[in-house]
Amino acid sequence: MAMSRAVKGLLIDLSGTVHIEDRPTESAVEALVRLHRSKLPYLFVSNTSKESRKHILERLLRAGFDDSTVDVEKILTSLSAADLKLRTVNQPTFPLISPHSMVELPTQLMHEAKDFSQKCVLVGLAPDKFTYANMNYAFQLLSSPNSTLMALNKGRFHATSSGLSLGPGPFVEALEFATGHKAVVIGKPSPDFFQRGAQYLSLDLSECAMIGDDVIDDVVGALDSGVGFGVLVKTGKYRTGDEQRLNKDRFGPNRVRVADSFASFVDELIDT
Amino acid sequence: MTSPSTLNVSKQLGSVKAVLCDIHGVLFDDGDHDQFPIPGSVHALNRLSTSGKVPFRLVSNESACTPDTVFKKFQKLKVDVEKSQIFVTVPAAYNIIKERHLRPFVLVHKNVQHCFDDLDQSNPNCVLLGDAVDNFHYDSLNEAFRVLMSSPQTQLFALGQGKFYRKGGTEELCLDVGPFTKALEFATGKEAEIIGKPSKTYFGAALKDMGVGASEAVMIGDDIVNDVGGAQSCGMKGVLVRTGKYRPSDEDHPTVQPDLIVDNFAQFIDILFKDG
Repeated sequence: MAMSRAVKGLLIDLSGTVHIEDRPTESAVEALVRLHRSKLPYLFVSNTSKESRKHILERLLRAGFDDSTVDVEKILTSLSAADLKLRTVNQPTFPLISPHSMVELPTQLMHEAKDFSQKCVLVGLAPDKFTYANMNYAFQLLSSPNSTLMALNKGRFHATSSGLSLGPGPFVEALEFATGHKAVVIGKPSPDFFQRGAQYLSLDLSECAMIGDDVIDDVVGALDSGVGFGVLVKTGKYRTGDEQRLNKDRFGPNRVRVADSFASFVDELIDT
Repeated sequence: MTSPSTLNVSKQLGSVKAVLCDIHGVLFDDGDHDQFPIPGSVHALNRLSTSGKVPFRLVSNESACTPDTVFKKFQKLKVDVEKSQIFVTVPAAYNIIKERHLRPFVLVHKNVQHCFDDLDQSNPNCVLLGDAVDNFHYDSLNEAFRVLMSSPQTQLFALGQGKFYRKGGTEELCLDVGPFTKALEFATGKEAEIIGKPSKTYFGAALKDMGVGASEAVMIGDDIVNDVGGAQSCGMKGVLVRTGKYRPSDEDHPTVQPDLIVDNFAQFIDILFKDG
């Protein structure tokens, strides 16, 4: 398989690909051990805006992943990437993000009081915070000039144990529509994010393969950003027919793969 | 004040068998605390109403009230119209959903939630959004989302598509139904059907209510795009008033050319009746 020679590193989505909440996807634990033994560099790239890397690590360990195969240093999240961006913007920020997430961000910039002092609104996955009052306040803040709308990601929805659930994307879209702002998107599918992932692996993005369950944010987004190979897995939020959205004509069939699962992809990659 | 000749007007409007009339900006305008009638409008409307010659509907994108609420307000101002002549989005939505035999998940303003009570809302197969204000939150939107994802056929309906509105009597701007509709469109990849100006569905429902075709009707409004342009897109004539949100630049609009421009509603009624 041509891919196995050309792929020098893996960018691996977490939720929906390697695990779903506290359970690994089929044979993922063993597959990760084999991947680790192969010495092929890999990095988990997650759009989570709810959990710190430490939380994610704890969840992976609870799910049964071997502690030699997972580490905070092997995880890049939109939260950890946002930290740098926020320090650059350096403005008081109204956080529509979960309390857990605050630890990875510059707390001195996070300001929750509704006193119209904030020049930036940061949106992540925060179900409890998406009240009309908060959305309306964010809208009013963004109606003033020189304000910034920042999104940890624009995920449309994700798989949870109770069914599909809205991501932050729709709420960001609502604010963009109401105010005419275009959000600065930190996580997938922003090219900066994939670039950063490749940098962490000391590789060129074209030498990496990105594997995930979200046809748009993971696979097409990565391919658009210049990743060498995009692999769609049929787990998590994958829905029948997603393959049709892979745009093989644009990227060329060699750059695009569909695999039943993370484990089955690793099998193919390592065994050849 | 220009007075087009009778001949010209006939040419511009053709034979008028029905009138659709915007409320806000044509009949009433916003004051500091409440709405006040635009001079001459009440008298003109009463003239239209009592003549009985031309069926009409007062058409509004109001989605937090029923015809009854509007009717009571009109009564206080001595406007002589019947409840059945008041066309707002809630009853239009009710009828559309009923006609299509759908079971709606209803997420609208609390004042009008009860209007849908006698529709079967069990196991919903469509979603209706209005300006739900505090009823918009993650859980309610997530529920709407799940209904929409349950099948490729489930339709999203929205009462209008406004981005925001000014809270009555204040300077405060508040999110309208539009942003939340966009949120669900983004999440599901579906396109909402808008029940409100300028949608064909809405204008069509008003015309059907009067039993006339689009080519026989005239819409008069202050919003060049949503009232005039919207009406023309449906095959109606569109008349622009120089009151309400009208601006002089509207007369040079890049895409919409009103069939007629009048100073106010009273002038329009004068012209209509001069025409016989």
